Amino acid sequence: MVYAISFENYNKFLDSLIQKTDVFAPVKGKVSSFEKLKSAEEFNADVLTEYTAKNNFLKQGELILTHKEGEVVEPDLSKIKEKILLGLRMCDLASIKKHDIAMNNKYADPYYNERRKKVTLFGYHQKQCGDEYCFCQSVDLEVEYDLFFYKRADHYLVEVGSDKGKTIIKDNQDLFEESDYKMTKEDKEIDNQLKLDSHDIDDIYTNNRGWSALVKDCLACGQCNALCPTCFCFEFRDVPKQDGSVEKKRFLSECQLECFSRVAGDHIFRKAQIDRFKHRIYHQLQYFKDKFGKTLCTGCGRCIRHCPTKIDFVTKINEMKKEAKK
Amino acid sequence: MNDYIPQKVKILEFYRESPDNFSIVIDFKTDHEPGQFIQVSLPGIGEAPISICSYSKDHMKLNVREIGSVTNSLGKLKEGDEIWVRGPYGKGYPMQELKGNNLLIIGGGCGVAPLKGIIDYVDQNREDYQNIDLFFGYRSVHDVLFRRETPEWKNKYNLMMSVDKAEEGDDLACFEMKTGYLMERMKELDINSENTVAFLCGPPIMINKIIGLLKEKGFKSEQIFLSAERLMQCALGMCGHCMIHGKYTCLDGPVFRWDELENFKND
Ligand SMILES: Cc1cc2nc3c(=O)[nH]c(=O)nc-3n(C[C@H](O)[C@H](O)[C@H](O)COP(=O)(O)OP(=O)(O)OC[C@H]3O[C@@H](n4cnc5c(N)ncnc54)[C@H](O)[C@@H]3O)c2cc1C
Ligand code: SF4
Ligand code: SF4
Ligand code: FES
Repeated sequence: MVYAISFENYNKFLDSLIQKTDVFAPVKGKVSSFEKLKSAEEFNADVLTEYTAKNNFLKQGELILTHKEGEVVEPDLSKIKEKILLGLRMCDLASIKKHDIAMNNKYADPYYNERRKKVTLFGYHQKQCGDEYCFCQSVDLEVEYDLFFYKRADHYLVEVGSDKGKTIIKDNQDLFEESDYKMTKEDKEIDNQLKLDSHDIDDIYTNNRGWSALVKDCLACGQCNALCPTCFCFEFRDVPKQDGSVEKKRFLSECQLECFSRVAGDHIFRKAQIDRFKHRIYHQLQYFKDKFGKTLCTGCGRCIRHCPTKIDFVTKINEMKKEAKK
Repeated sequence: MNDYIPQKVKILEFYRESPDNFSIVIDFKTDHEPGQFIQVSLPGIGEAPISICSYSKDHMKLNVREIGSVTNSLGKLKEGDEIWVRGPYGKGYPMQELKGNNLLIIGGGCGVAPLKGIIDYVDQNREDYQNIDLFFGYRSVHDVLFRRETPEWKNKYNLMMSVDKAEEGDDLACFEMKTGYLMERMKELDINSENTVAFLCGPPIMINKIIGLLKEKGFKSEQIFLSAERLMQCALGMCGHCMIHGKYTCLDGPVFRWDELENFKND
């Protein structure tokens, strides 16, 4: 069953949500991140943000525990507020699903899971989604959402993905209409200009010439990690407070920096940038898939688009794969 | 269940092994496998993975080299002080599967610590294994660890110890220590690979050389097990820091069979 909502009602719908819950979305005038929406008018559906929404689940500076007067105090996770994320493109939506897997490997991460539980996800489909750097159609995109919006000439079609989504529609039934439209494969298509021929890259691991040519322009700045929706590696820091307590906090870390693999005695396991670069790409395309059956990368292209030297690993991998076949 | 939350335990015994290394016995009772590790933390300093170097249900022994912030701070504590621990974590040595084998236990420096856990285990399950060789190398006589346990090891097993360099006046005689790199001393020995598995732990350079030697002596990669070291943050298979070519050292290791790692030394 799909629903339809007119543009006018859509704005009413958003405004009523904003009254009740914090809604985060790409906003007009700011292209870089998901911001708290003040009115439906502000929503900017036409932009693939520079930053992803991952900070809503993997919060920078997440308080893990406090050492206070000789005891450990756990933070009260029930205080985390409900929120809605609006305008999530396929790649960003898929990245949340990847984190659901990564943060519930053998052990479960209670901080991630609590934030995740409290977020309502609204997907947003756009056929002409991004730019020449998007290659989402070449990787695994499995998504979970509460509602998914498809833009039409004068209305949105809405797919329901969960009970939470069902309830939202029910609570706003005067704004939505039931539709007997059958979604087709074409409706869900996304056009990409870039294509990764294969994400099975085991056979080019030892192609040193190819990887070196790719990495020679890399500054080891870590921007690719910071902007990637799926990069989730993290570290802890103990932060002393004035009252004598100590807070253990969590921050995302960047595998493109030397310190990522530095151990005591100043030994750095991935000392050469080529090893660090390959680690990022192999984690994204191969390791995660070997472990969990799907690529980690969602093909959003941010790590190429916003790389200061625009390192295009997709085209180079295609080349190396062709070479390997010969 | 929040696996990041550590518990507070008391230091029951603290004693120095060498100028930059000490052992502690802590009041931490938990089931574990030989070769597993725990996360030890001090508020405001941080957390570090440390191998369990005993095999007992009543208490736990750790051996620590002072090399950075957490380890140096631990070294300033004394009996009765409290530390924070969580674990045990990781996959240890597959002792059950390896029943009936000869064990060749090779360690360098602080790498002897996790191997001591194996020796304690073997002590309690002696009938399950054949010949036991212990080959340990240290930088100098001042760096020799586990002096308390060594006389007993010498009685029970075939123990060979060497120090890289000896100076005049060094007492090498007590444990019949040899001089020179462990690998050089091992070259002189008659080591038979048949029905034998080797357990290794130590600095990467030494490990790589000794693996080369074992290969020359007829060992296959499948007969070699080693405890790998990588930066660790979570020890729960999430943070990604400990990854070696897609494997999590904290979950899939720290003990690996050599064929799992041999092609990925920079990874
Ligand atoms: C599975 C495993 C078992 C270990 N067992 C022992 C042992 O029994 N005895 C012993 O003395 N040492 C052991 N180590 C090494 C020990 O963890 C490091 O020496 C220690 O983390 C250094 O911490 P630091 O704060 O003193 O050093 P710093 O250089 O100040 O390090 C800062 C932080 O980086 C991380 N870190 C640094 N070095 C390492 C490292 N080698 N491995 C993992 N994380 C690191 C820790 O979180 C550490 O707190 C083991 C390492 C691993 C991975
Ligand atoms: S953003 Fe580009 S230059 Fe910076 S580390 Fe990533 S690949 Fe290298
Ligand atoms: S690796 Fe690059 S393309 Fe893939 S999800 Fe991350 S930023 Fe997007
Ligand atoms: S230490 Fe975090 S994944 Fe292994």
